[in-house]
Amino acid sequence: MPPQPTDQETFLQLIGSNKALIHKVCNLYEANPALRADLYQEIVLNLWKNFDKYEELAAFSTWMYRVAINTAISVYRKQTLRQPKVSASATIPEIADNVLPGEQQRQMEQVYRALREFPEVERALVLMYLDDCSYKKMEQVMGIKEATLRVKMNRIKEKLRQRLNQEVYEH
Amino acid sequence: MNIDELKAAWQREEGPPVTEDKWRKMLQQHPDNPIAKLKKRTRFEWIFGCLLQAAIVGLFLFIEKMPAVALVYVLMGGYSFFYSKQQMRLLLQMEKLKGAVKETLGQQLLSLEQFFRRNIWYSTLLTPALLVFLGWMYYRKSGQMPVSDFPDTFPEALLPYGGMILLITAIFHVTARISIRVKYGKHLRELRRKAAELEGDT
Repeated sequence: MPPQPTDQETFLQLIGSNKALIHKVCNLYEANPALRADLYQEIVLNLWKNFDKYEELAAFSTWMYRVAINTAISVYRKQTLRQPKVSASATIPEIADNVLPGEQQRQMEQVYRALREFPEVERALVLMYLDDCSYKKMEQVMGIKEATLRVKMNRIKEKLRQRLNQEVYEH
Repeated sequence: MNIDELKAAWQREEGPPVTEDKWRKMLQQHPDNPIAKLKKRTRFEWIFGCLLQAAIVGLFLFIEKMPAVALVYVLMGGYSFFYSKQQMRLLLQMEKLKGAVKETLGQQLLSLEQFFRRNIWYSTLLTPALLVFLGWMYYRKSGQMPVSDFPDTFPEALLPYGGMILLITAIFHVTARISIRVKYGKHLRELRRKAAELEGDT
C-alpha cells in the first residue's frame, strides 16, 4: 500500500530530524554538484516511496541508512562518467551549502574529498563509523556479518588514517 | 587531524537547512532516474505491442479470413502481455529498497540481468514472428503481382526465406546483445564489482 497523505507529516518530521544523514551520503557519493542534487532528491523520494515498509520496531535512522545507502550504491542511477568531473573542493551546491564556520568547512571538504577516494561499500562503512554506529547497526544496514565487518573496519580505519595524514601534508 | 577530531567534526556536520516546503516539493516530483525511464519504455513497448498485435489479428481474422493464423498472433499477443507484466514487476521490485544493502544489491543485480536477458530474447523472437508475417503477406500478394523475381510458390520460397529469417534473427540477437552491453554493461559490471566487494572478494 502506498504511503498515505497523512503519513507525510510524520515522514517530514522524521526526515527533518535526520537530514544530516542524507546530506552526508550525497556528499560522500557525488562530487558533481548537479548529480549530488539529483541523488539528494532520489534519496528523499525513495525514502518516501518505501516509507510504508518502515517498521517502527527498527530505529528510523537504521532504516534511513539502509534506503539512503542503497540508493547511492545499488540503485541504477545516472552515470557519473557522462557528466563533467568537478573537483571535490569546488563550490558546494545549494543543497550542500555549508553551514559551518570557515575552518570546519575546510576540514569537511578535505574529509569528503578523502572519503570519495574509497570504494563505495567502504564509504558506507566509514559513514556509519564516523556517525558512531554500533557494529550491530552496521550489520543491519549492510547485511554483512559482524566478524567480517570488524576485519573490514580495521582495514578501513588504517586507510582513513593514511588518507587524512596525506591530506594534511598536501595542504 | 586525527580520527577523533574527524569524528567530532563529522558529527557536528548538520548540512544546510531545508524548509518543509522544499521537502514537499521534492515529494511531488517525478523521478527521472534510469529505472523510471525503463518503466516508461516498457509501458511504451506494451502499448505498441498491443496495437501491433491487435492490428495483425484483425487483419487475419476479418480481412484474410484466417482464424488459425489470427490465433497464433493472439497467443503471441498474450506472450507480449506476459512479458511486459514480468518486466514491469522486475522494475517495481528494483524500486523497493526494503532489504539490507548486500541483499538489495544482489536483488538489483539479479533483476537487472533478468530484465535485460528477457529484453534480448523478446526482441529476438519478435523478429522472426514479424518476418513470417511479412513473408506470408508477400507470398499471398505476390501471385497477383505482374512482375516478381521471388518464387511465388510456397515450398520454393520456404528455404531461401527461412534462411533469411534465421540470418536476420541472428543479426538482431547479436545487435540486441551488443546494444545492451554498450548501454548497460558498465552499470552491470559496477554492480558485480560492488557485490564482490561486499562479499569481501576485493
